[in-house]
Amino acid sequence: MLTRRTLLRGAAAAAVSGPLLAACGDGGADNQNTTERNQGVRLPAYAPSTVVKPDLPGNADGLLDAFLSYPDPPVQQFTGPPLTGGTVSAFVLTGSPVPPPKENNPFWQELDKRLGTELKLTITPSAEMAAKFSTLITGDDLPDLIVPALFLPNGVPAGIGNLPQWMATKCTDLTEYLGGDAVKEYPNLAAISTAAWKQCVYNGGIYGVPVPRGVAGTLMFRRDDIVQKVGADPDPKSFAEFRDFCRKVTDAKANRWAIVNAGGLMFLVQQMLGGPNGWRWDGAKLTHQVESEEFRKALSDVVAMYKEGVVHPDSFAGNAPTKRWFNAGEAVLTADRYTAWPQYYAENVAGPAFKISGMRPPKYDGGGWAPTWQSSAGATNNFTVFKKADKGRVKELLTLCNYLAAPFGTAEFLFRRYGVAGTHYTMQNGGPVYTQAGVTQTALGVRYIVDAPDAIFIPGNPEATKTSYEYQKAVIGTSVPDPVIANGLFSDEWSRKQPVLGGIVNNGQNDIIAGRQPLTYLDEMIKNWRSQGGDKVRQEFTEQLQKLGVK
Amino acid sequence: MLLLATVPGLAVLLTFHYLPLLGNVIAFQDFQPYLGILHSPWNGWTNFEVLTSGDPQFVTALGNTLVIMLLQIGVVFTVPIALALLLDSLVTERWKRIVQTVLYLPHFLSWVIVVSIFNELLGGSGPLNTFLRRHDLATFDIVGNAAVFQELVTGQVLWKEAGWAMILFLAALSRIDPELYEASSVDGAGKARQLWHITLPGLRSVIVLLLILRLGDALTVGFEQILLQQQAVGVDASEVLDTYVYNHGVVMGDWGVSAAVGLVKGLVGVVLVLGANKLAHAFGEPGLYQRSPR
Amino acid sequence: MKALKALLLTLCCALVVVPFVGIVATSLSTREQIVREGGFVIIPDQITFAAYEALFTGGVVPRAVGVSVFITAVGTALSLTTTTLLAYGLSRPGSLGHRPVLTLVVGALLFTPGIIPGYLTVSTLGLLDSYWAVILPAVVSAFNVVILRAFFMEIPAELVESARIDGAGDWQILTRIVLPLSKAVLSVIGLFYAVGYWNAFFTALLYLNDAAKWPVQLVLRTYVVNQQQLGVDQVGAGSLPPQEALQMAILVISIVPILLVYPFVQRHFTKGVLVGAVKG
Repeated sequence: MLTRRTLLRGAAAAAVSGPLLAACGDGGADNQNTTERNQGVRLPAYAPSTVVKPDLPGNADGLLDAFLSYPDPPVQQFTGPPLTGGTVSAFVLTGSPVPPPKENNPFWQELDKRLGTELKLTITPSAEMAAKFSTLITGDDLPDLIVPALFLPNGVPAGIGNLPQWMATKCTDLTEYLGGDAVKEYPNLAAISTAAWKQCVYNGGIYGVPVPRGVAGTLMFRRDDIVQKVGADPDPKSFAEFRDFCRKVTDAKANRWAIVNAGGLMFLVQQMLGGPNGWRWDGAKLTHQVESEEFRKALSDVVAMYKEGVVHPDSFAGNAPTKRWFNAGEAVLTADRYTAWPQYYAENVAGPAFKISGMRPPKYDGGGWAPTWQSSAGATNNFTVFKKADKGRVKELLTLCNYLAAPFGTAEFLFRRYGVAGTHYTMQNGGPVYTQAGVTQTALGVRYIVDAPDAIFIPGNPEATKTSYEYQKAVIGTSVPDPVIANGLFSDEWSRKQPVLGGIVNNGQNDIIAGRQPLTYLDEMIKNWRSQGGDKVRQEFTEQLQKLGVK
Repeated sequence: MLLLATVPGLAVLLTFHYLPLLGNVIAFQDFQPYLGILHSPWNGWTNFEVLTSGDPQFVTALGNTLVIMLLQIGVVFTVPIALALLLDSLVTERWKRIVQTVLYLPHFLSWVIVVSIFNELLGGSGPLNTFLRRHDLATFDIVGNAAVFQELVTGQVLWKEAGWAMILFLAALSRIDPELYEASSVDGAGKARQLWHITLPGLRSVIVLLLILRLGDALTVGFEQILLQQQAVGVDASEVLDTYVYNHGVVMGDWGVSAAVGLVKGLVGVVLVLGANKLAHAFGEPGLYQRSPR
Repeated sequence: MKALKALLLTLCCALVVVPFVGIVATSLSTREQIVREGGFVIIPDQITFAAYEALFTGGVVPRAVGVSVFITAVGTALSLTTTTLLAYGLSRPGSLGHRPVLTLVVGALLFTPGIIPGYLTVSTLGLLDSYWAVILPAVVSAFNVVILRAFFMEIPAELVESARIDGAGDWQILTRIVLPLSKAVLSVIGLFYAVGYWNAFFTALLYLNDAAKWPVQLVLRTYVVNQQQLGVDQVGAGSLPPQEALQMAILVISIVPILLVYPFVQRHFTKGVLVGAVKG
């Protein structure tokens, strides 16, 4: 959820990413979290939902369904509550201000009623998850459902040693309930893509339910309205044209720069060059992005562009409000996730003229489009583990999750996400728009327990929805995954050292771009990266790729 | 009897401070939260290796810490004292109160807010630089400039804490006998002489005490504050001991390392405090520990 | 000279006042202006109380302010009592066992326990999800004990001795002589404690699972630190008060109560308290 954008801010997008909390393990004898075991897991049989028909259909490449308006009337999927009494406790995260407590929160009360159980939530702000989670697991009094999505205060995923071992001792292996056709008992869980389930596999079993997201990942957003006003060609055909584009739209005296940060430039220029998304596997040798020639070339270009002053001057600041700059028109480009699309429309202050779309990377020397990078976090936002419990209880919780994963277009989804019509939202132009009560009361973090497959939907703006859909459709076929993610590899060293290795790349890259170090410093940076764990990670991944026989 | 009075306070310290302090044994463990203290494997001095490995980054961090500490002790002690004196010399009681209240306001802002205020106002796209750029003047490059980072950090601390730090000095000033001033002006002493011979001696023991206490915490300089700005200026200029440990240990969920460094910092604190206390005694100050019973 | 002083102080105040005017102004501004002016407004061209309305109708903030007031009031009272007793017990050198106790106090200043052992202690005592979990661990600050003790020790021995000759016990000496002479420093220490309780958010985060019990600073933090994250999944929040205004508004709300307390503390900073007592 929070990781990718934050990382892009500074730079080094793909370098630090990878599956959230990918497997760990101390490599000891009791380590059950091995690639062999994990590859052998029987994943839930995929059965896409047919409950609602999308306006613009997705496809097997990972293109998401799109909806021009919320189905009216929404489809009623369930006739009654999934549970009958009792309580369910959950440890969830939130990125929003804390919601009102239950007695002041009609949404929460209504949710309890519809779920047929009392939902007790421990809500933790995402920035404080790491500390809170570490204390939670030292006690034995665990909640039924736990979201182990850990972030450091700066938004980087925290490495936590031996998470898989913790899950093995304290959490439920869901394979017998969900593996293969067993999942059919929970049709809404069966509708979650296989790619998303892969991120829940640890210790040779399915250890959680996912909150799925599209694989398309991050794209370069462009302020079409400003580009048009300036009179620049919105779609440069080569790197040289792109540089001209950046010069043309930059006007420092008017407080306007081409892009919010240099990290975004690195992201785009590497794609133009066909650089590796995370890692490159040529059948014999595994190369990390940072070690590639494309990275070096991109870095030197970005250094030059930064010097020219096309990047927002405060871009290296921690917590840089890049979304606001983009909305304010202080920058014309920003690299952000697909899910940000509706938000930019919701918060725009430019009025009806406001128009954004995605900028495709051209091939560096021209001659068509370059492939884009798929999400570096796989197809999930996070996953949720179940405390060890007896069979009956686990089934109850899965029934609850099935309800909470009701797809877009159902009345259940509408309530879960937006609340009760009139009180929490109003329908405007075919899309629900929150009221003040809606924003505060619905921010319970329930959506991070489990969710339906993502859909493209910009409320009240079918044109923008179409633009978003068309862009995704155009790029998804040629988009390239990170081979480490695509092959479901696990490396203990990687899961522990990822933040440190990412830090080396991030800091080094910033130092070079900001001119504090010469370009030649890159060699030292790579050396550092390799000796601090990069080589060991490579070795662990390579062995697995060879064993799997990946060409 | 007197000892009895200390019982409630001691009970709190023992329960909520010393009891959990035992938990610092994890400094010698490869601590895993889910295994707990009892079951985590012991690993000897491994966690202390970050401190002894001679990593050049560590040396940089230590150097930065010391520089920032000296800057802060230098400025963050003198300015509040000066402010307190300045305020104290104001005549109208009302103005005194207003100024005081205003100056201590920033203490209530968290670092996230303070840093973002500095960034918004002084940053490259902030009002100041926007104005300069529009008038074709050189921009004022202070935020995100590695060369002046340590000064910037000190400036931020000063802005946030000077008014607050002043309060204790004001309380100390209130204890100085006004008759001393009257007597000395009868003797024809000027303001400067009064400052030197009455005011400063009156503040001396508080100043010494606070200095000693600050030394106990010498290796701690603004963790959250610096972490928030680290990206902007790079590690070389901004890495301090706490961020080093964070970046090298805690980021990986390595609780043992942070406990180890905590212990070492405590020990350094003990040495500095005892040393400073001795020094204070040598100058005839009571310091932290009274020398001996009267 | 006078003019110079006034100028200096005015300058210092301006350095503080300008950003604070900005904080208040931003909390009263519209989204359009906040975005246009880069997130921080000094002079709002149109005042709206939408942010404050949103915070007060949400139900979270008023409740959190109440929690904070409770924790601060109870905590400060407890802290002042125990700290005074502890510092007084240590202020008469030569009393039995005073040296090891003092060492314990100073040791607490230098070594801090880790997060996890602290949590285990609190949970073993069964204090989780109770306000006491936030209050009790913070009741004694070694720093404040040392400061208070130093001030107590500066009280002239003759005063204490003459009282003793008059037949006063330790208790009477404390209440009749030491405390009245220490009003200034006691109010400062009380303020230190109060502000400490008021600002505490981390212990609340760790020990209070039920968000209904969160104090205002922790609520504030969810507005501030998650600033970047907010809205990502809050689609359609465009017609609502902007995030920056909400942040600044809750900041203002969290500062006002402590501002109201300060004048009462300040009253005691009047010169010559000690002198009067010596003569009397």
